[in-house]
Amino acid sequence: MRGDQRMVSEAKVIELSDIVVSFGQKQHAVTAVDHVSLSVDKGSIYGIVGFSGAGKSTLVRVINLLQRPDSGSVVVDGVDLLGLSTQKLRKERKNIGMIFQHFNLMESRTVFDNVAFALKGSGLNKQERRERIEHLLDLVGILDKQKSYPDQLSGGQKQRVAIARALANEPNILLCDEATSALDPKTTLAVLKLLKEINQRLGITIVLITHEMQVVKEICDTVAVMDAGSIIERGGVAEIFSDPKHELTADFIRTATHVEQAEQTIVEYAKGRKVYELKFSGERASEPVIVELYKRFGLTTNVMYGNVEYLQNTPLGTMLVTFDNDDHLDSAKEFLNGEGISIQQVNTGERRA
Amino acid sequence: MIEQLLPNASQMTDDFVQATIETIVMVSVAMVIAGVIGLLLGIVLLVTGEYGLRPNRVVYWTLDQIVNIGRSIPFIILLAIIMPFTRLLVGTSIGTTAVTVPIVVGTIPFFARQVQNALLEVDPGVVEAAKAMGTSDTGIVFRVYLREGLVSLIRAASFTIINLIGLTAMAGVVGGGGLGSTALQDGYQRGRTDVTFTAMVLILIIVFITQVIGNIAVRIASHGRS
Ligand SMILES: Nc1ncnc2c1ncn2[C@@H]1O[C@H](COP(=O)(O)OP(=O)(O)OP(=O)(O)O)[C@@H](O)[C@H]1O
Ligand SMILES: [Mg+2]
Repeated sequence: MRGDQRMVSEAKVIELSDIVVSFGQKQHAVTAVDHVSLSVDKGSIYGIVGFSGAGKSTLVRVINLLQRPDSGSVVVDGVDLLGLSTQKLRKERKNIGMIFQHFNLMESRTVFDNVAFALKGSGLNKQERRERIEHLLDLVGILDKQKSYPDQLSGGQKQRVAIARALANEPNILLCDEATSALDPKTTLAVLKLLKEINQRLGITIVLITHEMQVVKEICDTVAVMDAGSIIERGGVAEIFSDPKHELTADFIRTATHVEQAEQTIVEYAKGRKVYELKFSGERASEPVIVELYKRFGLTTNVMYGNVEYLQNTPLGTMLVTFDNDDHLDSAKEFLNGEGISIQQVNTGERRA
Repeated sequence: MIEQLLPNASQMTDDFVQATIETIVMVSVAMVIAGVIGLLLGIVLLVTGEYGLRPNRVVYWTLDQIVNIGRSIPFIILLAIIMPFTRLLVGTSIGTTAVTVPIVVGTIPFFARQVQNALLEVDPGVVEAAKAMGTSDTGIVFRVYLREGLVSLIRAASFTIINLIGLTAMAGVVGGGGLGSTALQDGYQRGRTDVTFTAMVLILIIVFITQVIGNIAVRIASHGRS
């Protein structure tokens, strides 16, 4: 933050290098994480997306050594975790909160006691403990439920308790493994909002696993896409969303930008005309481009769908269009690319049976 | 009226009281000893198992085999086989004290397996969460497994006690005392059906009371959740 060279590396709160994790015996071994390096900026929200079995959970569990890697190094907050004794590692783990898809609360304890569990051995006295717990429960908005048992709570409420518990030891890092996957869309948004708030108010670095690009779009600064144990693409969220390099990334983005649903309807509606997807980002308005297409190439553009979303304050636009003829399409494509607009055909133009 | 229905049994009130107390004492002593040892072994099985906190193939395999074998030896045979050991331990091989030894030995593997299975029911996700919070392995055993698994443990214990009552009855064969002896020696062997019948009813009452207490304990432990 002071801007000198040394601070740059210190600003990385998590540094995984060349991590390999495999399961099973030689012949049937599965390489769940295959030479992955990952560094996370202090105070950021880092998303990891990928399909089921990609190795996301395994990778994240390496961060607090719930999963020991076969090889590689794990440095968290400047501490090389692999070199620690069991006891020291346990102490470091208190600096890394974790929440889970199925909340993993203790059914036999009240909400209050679930959070208190994490504070055992914290050196706080009873009064301080109570204050800390009540403060946390208040922070996550569930103070009134402190005497309830987990099975008396909704999913969203349970996840709030889990978040309070994860924050009990005032960690610098919070790991979230599919923390919203068991929640309905509305509750998902509320929990994500809470995570964002925690990130901003407490400066806690968050690593968040998800298979929904929607979640990444909502709160992440940086995103890594995992497939078959490797990170195939990573970068700032706006950058990745506006210009995905990898097919799989593009697929994920489609599901998040509502284009997917729109596409179906529009392709049908297009009645055999070719549908193209135009994507633009930044301060670029679409109208002048459409005018230019007509002026330069005599192309009339029908906009069938348009959507602009803001990612980290960068507008990201998507349009589905058809053209009245194909005559100068190649030069039009070149022109658009020159303008920083990507164009991609989404259907073959043939009518589907 | 009672005299007509139970001509012999009604004359033996004191014997029945005595026998009932013997049964309860045998069951209690056996449960305390087998309970402690079985609980420990169950925890060792849990901890050293493949997905345990400290997997250890050798320890697990050995213990697992011992428990399997211990559970498959019929009680009557166990009773005979360990007689020398019993004599060594308590100085006699007949009577209530003597018969408690094979009962304990027979119950340990039974309860150990029950404990292991009860604790395996604890959500592995909760254990994972505790690990992530920096809880020690000992802490996880006591503050997670035994606590989260308490309801299952209570169920396992009452199941084991009911099984124990069965064993004490069988122990009547070797003059082990208790309601089993009464049913067998004072009832069956002398052709007094009403004595056998009364002993059986008393045993059923003890079983029933055990179940009721177990259910109450479950309800308390689960805060009315189940
Ligand atoms: N403990 C384990 N033993 C054996 N194989 C495992 C283990 N944990 C994970 N794997 C395997 O490693 C691969 C990656 O699993 P992982 O759970 O990391 O995937 P994921 O990306 O989190 O998937 P999901 O979205 O379903 O949670 C899978 O092939 C899985 O079967
Ligand atoms: Mg996973």
